[in-house]
Amino acid sequence: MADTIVKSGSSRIFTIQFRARHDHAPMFHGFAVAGSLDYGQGDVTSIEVPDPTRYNAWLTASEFQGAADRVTLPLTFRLTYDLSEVLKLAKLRCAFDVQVHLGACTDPRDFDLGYEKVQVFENALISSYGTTDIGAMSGDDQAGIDEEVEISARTMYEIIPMRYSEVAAGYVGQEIVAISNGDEAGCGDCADPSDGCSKIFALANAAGSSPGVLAEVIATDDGFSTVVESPINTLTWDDDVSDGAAVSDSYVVISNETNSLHYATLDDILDGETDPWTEVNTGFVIGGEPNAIVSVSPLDTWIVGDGGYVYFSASPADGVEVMDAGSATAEDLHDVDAYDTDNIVAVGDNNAVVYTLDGSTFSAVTGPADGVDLTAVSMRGEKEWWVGTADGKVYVTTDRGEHWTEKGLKGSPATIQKIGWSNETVGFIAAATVAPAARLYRTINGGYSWTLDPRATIGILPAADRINDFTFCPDDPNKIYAGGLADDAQDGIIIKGQ
Amino acid sequence: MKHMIYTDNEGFMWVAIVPDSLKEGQSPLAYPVAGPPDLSVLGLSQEDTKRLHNGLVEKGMYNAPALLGRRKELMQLLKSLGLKLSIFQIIGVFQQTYYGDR
Repeated sequence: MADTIVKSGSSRIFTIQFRARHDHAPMFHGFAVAGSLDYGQGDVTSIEVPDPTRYNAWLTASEFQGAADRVTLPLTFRLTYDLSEVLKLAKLRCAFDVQVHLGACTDPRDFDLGYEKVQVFENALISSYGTTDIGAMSGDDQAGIDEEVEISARTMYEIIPMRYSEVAAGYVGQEIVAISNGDEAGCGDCADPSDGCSKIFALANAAGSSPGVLAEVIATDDGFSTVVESPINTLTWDDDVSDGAAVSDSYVVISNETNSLHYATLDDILDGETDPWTEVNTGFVIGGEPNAIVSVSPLDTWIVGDGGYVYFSASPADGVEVMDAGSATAEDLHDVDAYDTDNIVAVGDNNAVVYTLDGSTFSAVTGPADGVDLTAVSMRGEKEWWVGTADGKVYVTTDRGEHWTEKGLKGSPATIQKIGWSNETVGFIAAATVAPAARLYRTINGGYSWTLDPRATIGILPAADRINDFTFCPDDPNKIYAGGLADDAQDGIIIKGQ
Repeated sequence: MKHMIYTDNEGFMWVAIVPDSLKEGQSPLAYPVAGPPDLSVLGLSQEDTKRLHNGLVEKGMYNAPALLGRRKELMQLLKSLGLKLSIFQIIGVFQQTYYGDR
């Protein structure tokens, strides 16, 4: 469908009252059309200087662009004898989401599979409501009555069906346990121009062969067109790694087996330096060996580990300090996510969930699955946490764990490896079946419905036993990098979805 | 410093690190060897060890850094030599020699 021209008759409207969320069903509006959208990107202003060679003349020395405007979109609905949903939305004065689904050969009522492209308008409000003529003075004036509204949305972007392919196949010999985006979008003023999705760092485990092969980082600065390897020579031959994250200008690896962190600068890794790694064990406690890491800013990184230990690091080079020495829970913690520098959640064995509202004081809350090990956590909001379990279930809470709702996934996953949100609408879940075979699920409505990705009509996911981790690209919910164990139970695999 | 390849009396090729001033035809034997590492630990026959050893030198894969990013080439080399070895065995020997005992 890539080169197919979209015709105006191929669009249909969905609205999501109170915005996309796991319990907010999209509403289909069959008798509605969207008008011309307007998305001002900000005026461009020149900065001039006098022309040194001519009087009364100026040269453009630079320019700057103002902030992007809100998006406006007129919507027209045929008035029916039912109570008007759009009038209700207008009078409610609460933000909602609008999705314009564009398609051709599918059922447009099918929210998840009935589109070839979606235009998402997030955080919309109705700025005007009106109708066409309600009455007809004569037979010639007879016409259908339309409701006409204009929405003003905070942002707008597109979603298309994803295709997946394996990348760096010749370089990935060992299981990928973590993958991170270490890139920043920019126009080239401070670094090379980038779309913010070119520098990717995948953490591969030790090979476990004889003789052993070191765990390493497999990295790229061009989306895996070219690849570099960086063996972590501060580890020993059979030391497995637990997790990794890009922290400011460094990549930080944690290892439960060495009870320490290992870091190298992103540039040294990408430049192929042969000895860029430094090990730091300052602050790590025996019995609190690290398992998972999340970084929110250069100065704010949290690490969770065995025995319920939670560490904080303001600088990987300086090590970590204990935030919680297993007082909130004594269970081993296996995953951690942060919404911001104050709100952090971690999950672990035996239904353990701990969280903080100030970045330092951790409390326990009862998890969703009594006696079950929790393997993945993702924060979609301060109060909205998604949790995956070792027995293949996914739960969500919107009140910090006071109530949990199970979200069903097709295909009977046996384990959940990873949950993540690209933005407030688009999210992914990595799971594995008993076989084992990796499964990837995607939602485009804030978690209300999840579908196996990619669509069967488009392609297949490269065969893998499991996907352990994935990472997103800023401002592009149509791109993902994932890493895990290949389908031979031995090699690693990196998958690019776009 | 530059690299120079020479062959010893038993037919094994070696990569030596020599001064830039060393001219073609001058012996590099007095200078340190950059690789490859001792492959006898792999348990191959003497003949296969030599074929692998020299094949690696010809491909420029003489130490651990020189192997980085070249797993596919290494796999193809093993295939072309008909050797039933895992690339990890080779990488392991190279890494252990380069990074030392850990």
